[in-house]
Amino acid sequence: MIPVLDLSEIPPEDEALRAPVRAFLQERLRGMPAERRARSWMGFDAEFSRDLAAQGWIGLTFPQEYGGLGRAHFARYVVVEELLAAGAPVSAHWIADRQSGPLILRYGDETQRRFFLPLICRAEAFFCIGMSEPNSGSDLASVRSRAHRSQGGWVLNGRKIWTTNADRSHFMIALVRTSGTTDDRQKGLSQFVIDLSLPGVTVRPIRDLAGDEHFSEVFLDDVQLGEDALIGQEGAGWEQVTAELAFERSGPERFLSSIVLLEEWAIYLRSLARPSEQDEVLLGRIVAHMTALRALSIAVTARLVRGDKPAVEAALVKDLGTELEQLIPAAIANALGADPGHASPSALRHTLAYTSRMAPSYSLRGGTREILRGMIARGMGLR
Amino acid sequence: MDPLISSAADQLFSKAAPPEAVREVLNGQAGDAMWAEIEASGFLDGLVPEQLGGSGLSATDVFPVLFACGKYAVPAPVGETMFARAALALAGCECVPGPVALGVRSGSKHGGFASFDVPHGRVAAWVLVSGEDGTVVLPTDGASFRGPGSDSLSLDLRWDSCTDDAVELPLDADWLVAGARIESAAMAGAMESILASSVRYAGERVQFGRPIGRFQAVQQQVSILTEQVFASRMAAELAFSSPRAQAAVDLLAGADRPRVAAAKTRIGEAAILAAAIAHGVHGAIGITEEFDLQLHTGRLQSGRLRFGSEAYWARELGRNVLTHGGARVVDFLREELTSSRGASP
Ligand SMILES: Cc1cc2nc3c(=O)[nH]c(=O)nc-3n(C[C@H](O)[C@H](O)[C@H](O)COP(=O)(O)OP(=O)(O)OC[C@H]3O[C@@H](n4cnc5c(N)ncnc54)[C@H](O)[C@@H]3O)c2cc1C
Repeated sequence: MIPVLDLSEIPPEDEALRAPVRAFLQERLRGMPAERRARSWMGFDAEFSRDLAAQGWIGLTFPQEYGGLGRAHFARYVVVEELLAAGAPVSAHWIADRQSGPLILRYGDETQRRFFLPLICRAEAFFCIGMSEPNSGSDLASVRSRAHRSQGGWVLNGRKIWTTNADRSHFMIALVRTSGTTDDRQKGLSQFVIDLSLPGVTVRPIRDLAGDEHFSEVFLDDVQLGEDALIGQEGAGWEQVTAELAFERSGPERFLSSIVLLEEWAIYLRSLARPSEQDEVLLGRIVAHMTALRALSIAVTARLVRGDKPAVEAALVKDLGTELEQLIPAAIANALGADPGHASPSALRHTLAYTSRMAPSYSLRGGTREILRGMIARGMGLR
Repeated sequence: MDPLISSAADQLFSKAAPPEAVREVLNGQAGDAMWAEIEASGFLDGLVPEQLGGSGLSATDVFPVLFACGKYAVPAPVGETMFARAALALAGCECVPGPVALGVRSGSKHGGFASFDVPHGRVAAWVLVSGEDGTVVLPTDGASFRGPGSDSLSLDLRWDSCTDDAVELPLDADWLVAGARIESAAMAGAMESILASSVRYAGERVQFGRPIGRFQAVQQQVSILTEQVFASRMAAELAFSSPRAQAAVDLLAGADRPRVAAAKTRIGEAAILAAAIAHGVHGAIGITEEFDLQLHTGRLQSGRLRFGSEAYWARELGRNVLTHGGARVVDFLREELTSSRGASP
């Protein structure tokens, strides 16, 4: 059975970060249209990331010797919650701050930590994740990209796809096979950090249904890697990737993807002389869902702080969260169309259009709904 | 959730309210023996302040007791009586003996009173009748009219006039919020039993040569149920963890109403899904009187109607958000709904 998630609290010293982050964002994002803010953690702005880094707010959970602030997970929770609530364009540093940095800190060797972590904290190194391949989506253990030992290192061949920010990142952390065959499944997989400027790396951006180009296909042809490109243990890639995904799935981003749209709609409702009863009910329902989700998400973070590995709990919160994130655009579309011919602000409608288009991706990226529910069922002892 | 109080409550109700005893009360008996055991536990005076002779428990402390009431489908107004006793004590009134039900938003006319669909009215000795003109505690056996309510425990009640033993309660309290708060905890508790039963049954029942829990379709359903139960429990716990609504006096005043609105809304929505999935997983056996699942799904059904459904509370919550001084939704969420700072650990 999955252990109960107890109500937990953000410690005051971490909560204290909220006011300065908020003040910074108010100033820095002034005038940015809602439709752009709605891109949430898909919005890429390297200059913004560097300004944030200058405040010390990237990699702030890393120890000070590696350029971080040595703060607890809750400090990052507070910063991230404010960034997402404001619709800040965090995509450039997002993956490094959330996953790649913590992964290097945990499994990397001292040389790797000293090299990469300070770069991440200064927003001078952006990362992408090379897990998915054309024939390996949910079945991640079936990856076919492969690294062979060579003199003084490794030679890498294969293909990755849907790699967010591959075209704008400096490094990729890729999961590839280093021994055995796909029949060996989770055994024989390893993680490498790949400098994307190396010969043999070709990145081809893919346009998404909203017209943006945030993910890419990445071709890896005889890419020569040094010994120092291996992260952690050879053959321990699966375990490392699983730990990484618990970080990916647990944060406040898992219920805030549609928040800019919700805030815009609430602003619009406030501007009306009298919002309809249906609108009030809908807003109340959404907020009631968010109430439970935020508390659950904080409870999962409390587990991380204690050093647990709440992978199943994180999957549970993510699945619940994406459901709400997808309900928000669907229900607001219904609400705005409830009175044909009635005018609503065009910024609101554009934000709605964007959020509605991207909403299906919420329950794909980071593990599909069916896969997460499979994890929960296992947690409940059914598999 | 305090583990000591939680296990004391489990112990009490597993003994005082086993499924056979619950059924007897649901089927028409009065449940005097069950009530006597609950009374003997001392929980009923839990919210009465210490200086007035009670145990002075906080909202956080009593949450596990009210949660357990739902988990065991206890067919008695335990939470209502706790709140009523605290109110009587605070107002300096004499305590009334026996179970007390809440008749919220009651009408009064020409010295008489009418309470509609009073939860637990049939098994209560008293009804705390609250309406625009104030609050009075009336004996159920003095009622001039008793009509069946929406479940076997609830009643429509009328009193033609105030009875001699009626107690006027001069205390400004919000009984709708009190009832909804109590009900949120009970519904979350009921859902926990529903989940346990579903997981157990999915592991035991064999079809096509394997336990049905091995089928992916069943697994996915049980996962959704699990999520709903986790969300409900959290929503209920939040309604009892507000730093501004810990002492009886604040609870009675209806402090932090938006949290109760969020809890009753969220849990009411979850209840529909949870009951449907649980019955789906159990198949025909779940439709029988004999199988305990029905006690808990029935409890959820009743709970949605008691003290305001999702429609009522969601609307109120939506209005609260919109009238909250122009702040962002996320700020309302953080400050009004999810902060537990100051609550006892
Ligand atoms: C916006 C976006 C950004 C992304 N960014 C990255 C990134 O940066 N790096 C990266 O590596 N990947 C990334 N991905 C890829 C993402 O991880 C995959 O989309 C996801 O793992 C699912 O794989 P798939 O798309 O191949 O779908 P498939 O695995 O082919 O699944 C298709 C459908 O089949 C279902 N299915 C599959 N297997 C089972 C099963 N065993 N039981 C039941 N149902 C099953 C799935 O749930 C789904 O409904 C991104 C995806 C999106 C949409």
